[in-house]
Amino acid sequence: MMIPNGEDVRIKIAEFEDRFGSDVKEGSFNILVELPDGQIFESVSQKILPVPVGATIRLKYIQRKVLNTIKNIVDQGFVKVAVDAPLINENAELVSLKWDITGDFEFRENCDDLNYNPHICYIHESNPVGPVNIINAKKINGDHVVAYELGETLANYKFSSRYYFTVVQKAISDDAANYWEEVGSSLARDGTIYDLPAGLIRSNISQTAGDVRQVIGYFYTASIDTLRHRVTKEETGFQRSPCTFFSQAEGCCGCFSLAGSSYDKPDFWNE
Amino acid sequence: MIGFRCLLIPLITSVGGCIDTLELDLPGDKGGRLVIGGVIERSPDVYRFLISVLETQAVNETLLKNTNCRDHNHL
Repeated sequence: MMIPNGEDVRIKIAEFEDRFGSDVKEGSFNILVELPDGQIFESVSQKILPVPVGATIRLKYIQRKVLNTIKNIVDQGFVKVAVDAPLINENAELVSLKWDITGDFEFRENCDDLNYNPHICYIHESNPVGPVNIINAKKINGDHVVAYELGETLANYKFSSRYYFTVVQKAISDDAANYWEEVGSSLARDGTIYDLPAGLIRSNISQTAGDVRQVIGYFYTASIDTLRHRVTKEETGFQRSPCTFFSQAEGCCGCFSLAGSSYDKPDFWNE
Repeated sequence: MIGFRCLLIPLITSVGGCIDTLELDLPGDKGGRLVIGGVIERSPDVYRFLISVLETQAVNETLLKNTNCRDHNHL
């Protein structure tokens, strides 16, 4: 099966199993990259581990003192995102988990201009609580986690109307968990002097043909479960819209200009 | 085992008109490292396949920061 470079290819499970057989679920996958000059690179093979089901999202509103832009100490609200999640899947395997988090909220225009027809925008946030969230099953005791913190985001106007957190939970191998932990440390620039230096992380792809060339990168497989949570005002500190009183705040007379904005309602909005 | 073949299609790096692009006067040092990322995911409905092959430009492994451009191919 050929996959074009950089293209996000999605195939329905029934169609995929028609093509490769229903036992493909138990099979291993690898990738082979062939360059025009004959160099070939191949990854290790990996199975797709079933994802444990039954995880739930928890939110908690906190306040702490921070310095504002003019160096005064002020109370700032934050929304912490955590999960309760089992780590045992349907095959009784202990699996590591990776979570990708996105957020979607609605922004209601309210403009001083009485002739203006106000819109509702739907704004997407790619990583509202940080880019890499991993739990390595080999490094914890027990078969589930409770209130495992994935990160936090500023509590502000985005929570004034409807906001959904979407958490894509992925079951990954221990090796993949180690890889993503290294990526996370590299991005955060934390760790100890015994950790791998930033930018030097493991690879499971090697060259099998052609002129020798340095290669880095990683291939992994995952099965995923999508969790979605509509936040409540109590969970986010009762935030107010910046446009409540016909304000001149950004977006109140043109929310389409806000980053990540769209007039199209997400499919899940009325679920 | 199922093998997935990803054919690298030569693309042109376009740097014009993107506010995140840093244009640097780089030495003509070619032969950077190949960076391969691949993922296969299975959700209740679909299989998802994504493989990306990029190339660093070898000036002590400096990467061009061009990742947030929506309207340009960057290889």
